[in-house]
Amino acid sequence: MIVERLRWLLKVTFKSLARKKSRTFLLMISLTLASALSTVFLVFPRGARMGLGRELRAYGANLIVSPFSQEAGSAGLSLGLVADSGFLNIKALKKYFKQNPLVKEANFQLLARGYYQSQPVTFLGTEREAFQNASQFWKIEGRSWPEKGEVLAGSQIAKRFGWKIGQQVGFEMGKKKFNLKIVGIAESGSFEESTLLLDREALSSWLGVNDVASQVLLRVEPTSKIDFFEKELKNDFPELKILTLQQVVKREENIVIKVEMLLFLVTIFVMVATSISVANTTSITVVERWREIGLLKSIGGSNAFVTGLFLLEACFLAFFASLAGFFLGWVLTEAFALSVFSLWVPFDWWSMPTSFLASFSIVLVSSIWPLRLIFRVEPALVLKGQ
Amino acid sequence: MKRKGYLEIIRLSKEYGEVKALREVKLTVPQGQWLTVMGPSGSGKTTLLSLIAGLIKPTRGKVKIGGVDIFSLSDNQLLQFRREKIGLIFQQHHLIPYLTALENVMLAQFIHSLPDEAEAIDSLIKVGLADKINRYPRELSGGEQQRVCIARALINNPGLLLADEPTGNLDRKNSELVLNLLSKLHQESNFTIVLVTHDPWVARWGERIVQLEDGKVVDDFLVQKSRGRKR
Amino acid sequence: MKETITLALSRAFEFCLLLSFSYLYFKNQRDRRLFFLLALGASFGFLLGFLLNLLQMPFAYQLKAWLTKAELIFRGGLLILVFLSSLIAEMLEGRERLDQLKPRFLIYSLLFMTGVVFVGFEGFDLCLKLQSQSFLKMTDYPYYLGAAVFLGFSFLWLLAFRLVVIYLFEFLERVQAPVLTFPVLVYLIVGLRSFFRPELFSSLEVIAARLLHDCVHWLIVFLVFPDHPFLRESFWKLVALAFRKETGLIFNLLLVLALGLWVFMRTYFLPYPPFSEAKSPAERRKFKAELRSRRIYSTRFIFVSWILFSLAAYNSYSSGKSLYFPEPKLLVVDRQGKVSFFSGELDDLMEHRYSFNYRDQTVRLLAIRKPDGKTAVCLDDCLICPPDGYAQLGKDLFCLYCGTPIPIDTVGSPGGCNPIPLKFKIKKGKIVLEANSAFREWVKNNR
Repeated sequence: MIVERLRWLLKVTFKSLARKKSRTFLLMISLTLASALSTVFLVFPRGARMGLGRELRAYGANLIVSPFSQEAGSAGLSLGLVADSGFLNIKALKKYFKQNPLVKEANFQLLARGYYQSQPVTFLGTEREAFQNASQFWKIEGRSWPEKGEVLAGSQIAKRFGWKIGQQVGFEMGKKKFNLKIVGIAESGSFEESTLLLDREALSSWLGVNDVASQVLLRVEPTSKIDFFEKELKNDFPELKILTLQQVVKREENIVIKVEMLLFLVTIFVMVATSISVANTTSITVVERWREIGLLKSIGGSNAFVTGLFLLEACFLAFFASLAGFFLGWVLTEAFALSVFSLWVPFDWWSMPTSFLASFSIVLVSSIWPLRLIFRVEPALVLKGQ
Repeated sequence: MKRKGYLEIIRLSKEYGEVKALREVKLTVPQGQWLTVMGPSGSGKTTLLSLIAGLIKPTRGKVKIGGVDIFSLSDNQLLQFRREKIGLIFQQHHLIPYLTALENVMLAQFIHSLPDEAEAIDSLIKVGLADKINRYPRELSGGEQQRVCIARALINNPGLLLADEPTGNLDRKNSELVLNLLSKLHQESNFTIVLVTHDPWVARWGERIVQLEDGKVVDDFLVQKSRGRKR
Repeated sequence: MKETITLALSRAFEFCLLLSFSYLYFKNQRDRRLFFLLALGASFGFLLGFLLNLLQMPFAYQLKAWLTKAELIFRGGLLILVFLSSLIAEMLEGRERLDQLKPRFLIYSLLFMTGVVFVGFEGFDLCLKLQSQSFLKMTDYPYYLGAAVFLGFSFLWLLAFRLVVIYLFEFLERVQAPVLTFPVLVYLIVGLRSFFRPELFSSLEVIAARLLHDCVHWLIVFLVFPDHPFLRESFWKLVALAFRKETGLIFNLLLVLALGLWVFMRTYFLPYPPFSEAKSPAERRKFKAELRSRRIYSTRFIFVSWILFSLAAYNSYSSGKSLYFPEPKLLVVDRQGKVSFFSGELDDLMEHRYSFNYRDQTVRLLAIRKPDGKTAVCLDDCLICPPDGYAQLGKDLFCLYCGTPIPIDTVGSPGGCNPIPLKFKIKKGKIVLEANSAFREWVKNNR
């Protein structure tokens, strides 16, 4: 009852749209896709950038050592199945690092991909001492170190699957199945929040390997000696791949930029395609409803009024397409980020205006040209009894 | 015919390039008169009607309705004037196909000012469509559609009703119904009617007949009451 | 020279556009006469700034400090503007012109205030900027030049505008007020950006939030529930949303908007005046529609002022966040009666604050390396205000007591609102100064 004129207008708009159901539906779908993609384009890179080099940063490390065969950046943005790739031999490296005075801290980590209810999850096997060093800045609910048969869940992953402390959770890894008890939930403000933390030894025994790691995070001090240390290490272990923090961030950033570019291109392409289809549909509609326009004009409707009616129809569609596109966009982002980068992007209402902006701008920009036809309709045509 | 008319047409001409559709037409129609414009096709009847409605601009001449020279108004003022003072009925029963009879009438109200459902229902009852208020145009017969058009044309209480072959697509029986309805409403509300037709049978419902030929008025006479007007 | 002219021209342009648009914003001739009150308010603010800067006396500085305080009050007046315009919208019902309203004084003062707040401080601010330019160049000419350019441009513009209004009057009549509202808003906001001091608005916002909190608290505790245990924790969390820093602003804006909406609804649903029976239904409908559109139109004040209010609030809120105000670092007076700190600490080109205790007094220092590489060491205090200290925002320091901006380039020069400069030496990478002389300066200004 607020504004009856507006309510009446919306009713007329709705009826007019309902008449051409299939066309409306198609238009709606393409608009939804366009706004969904623009949401992905906005949300994903931001989430991915948050993950840049975060693993190294969290441990105060400035060097990451991994086997050469492992074609992945770091665990920050994991780009493949880590469990399949080669491993580092811990014993030799440990001895080497102990002798080197530049190495202040070495954190051997084992990463493995498992499944929970056929959704991928990442296990992070670490050593107690290194863990306790890093975790003194974390907020941990429950117990802070998992014993055998237990696991510490990151807060993000726990929230995602709704896990509680003390819950028994079944995982799959390869063909093996096992149950783990969640003894604590860890909030680190970083990468660990979306992993399952446990003892490296325990993890390696499931994998059926011994004394190996997927990567070593090193803290080398003083920082001015990093280049020197890197050369030395390369000399002694030519089979290792060594990256500094800057290199890791750079590598990951390159990947993100590439993905961003790709997303940008796809988004632009879809938006242009949608614009064309909207423009096309609008001009067909105007031509089809030529007589109706003439009639409205002859009984006193101004050009602005008639154009407004058509625009209202378009905006009506755009509104619902934006809403649908926003949620679809989020689902797509999560699916994309999870499956490709093992990232969980936190939900954020602030990206909503983007999806609205996308579909409304498409509709408005692409309708302007066809709608100018309305101005050409002579009201006198209704008198000519065709 | 010296008394001041409600509708005054002064030396009105319309040319489409070389073709002269109307030549210096002069007419004065007093308030409340039912004028029928007759003539063969191509005689300029429809052009005359379009000009009176202000849908097209004349080459020369003036149209005054209620003392207002409509072509001296700005576009927006003319629209406003048409909304308030002129009702239109067409040969084709131009109704918006996706709106019901009631909503079609309310659309005219909306363009004029505000939609008012009760008033629109009343007007449909007046034209005898009480039981078909919520039907869509495709569910109505030709005569019924034309009656909806009449209701729509009269909903804003215009001083002048323009009808272009209102019975052109109807059979005799339906035509008679529509014309009887028009004449009933005309007697009740005393608006001026200009009706265009080529059918002498239709013309008999009017009070005065103007014969148009080749864009010129060739005959202008009052209808004797005894001749037509069967009710 | 070029800088001065550009500054004065851009301000004059904004000023004139603003005046022109506000002129067009009023619908009829008699309201337009009222618009000169806007111009009057503007001239008042401008003149005040000019005069105050011309009289470079301590008294003038003191007055300026008061005025800046007054600006805060004016900004509070912006809030009042929203309420008042709601009131006006109520009163406008059934009348067409502003000056038909009864409390004419209220309307006039409202317009005058709008002029002072929105336009006057623009001029005031221009004067301040020109003055700082003069200050840097150690000559007065930019000041007079800027003022002359401003006044000349404004005069020519208004003359031209007058002519245009006369010749294009019919055209301007057709351009409806809603179309003009947008540019007016844009220019108001452009104007606002230039004189809104940071953090002051936030404090107003905090006051509003606290007031609201107290009201709600008292209402709930004394009237509805005797004590908290009846309510769950989650309820209080919900209530707290209204007072959090992140959400409080939005909540308060919504509250003000709700008030506007309430007035709008009230006007919208007022009963119609009785129709004469002779009118046909169509005429009655037309009458209703006209009445309604006039009612909606009359409430435009609410929405215009609300948009203005929220943009201004957002503007000052967002800029207030980046205020840099470090804790003072404690220094120790050595045996020779000297205090020192490393020169390298200032390499970040940001403000640094220090303090040391000397003869039962805590003396605060301020040190900054300027963009040109020169170092300035001053007391964290000026000749005028109580020593609340200076915070940094971008290229300016702000006196936290009066809110006066001090361009960093001028820090180290003595006088007025600038922090009091101190003598220092650089020895072995350390900045060394005499504790005693700093102490004496400090005590002198804080009797």
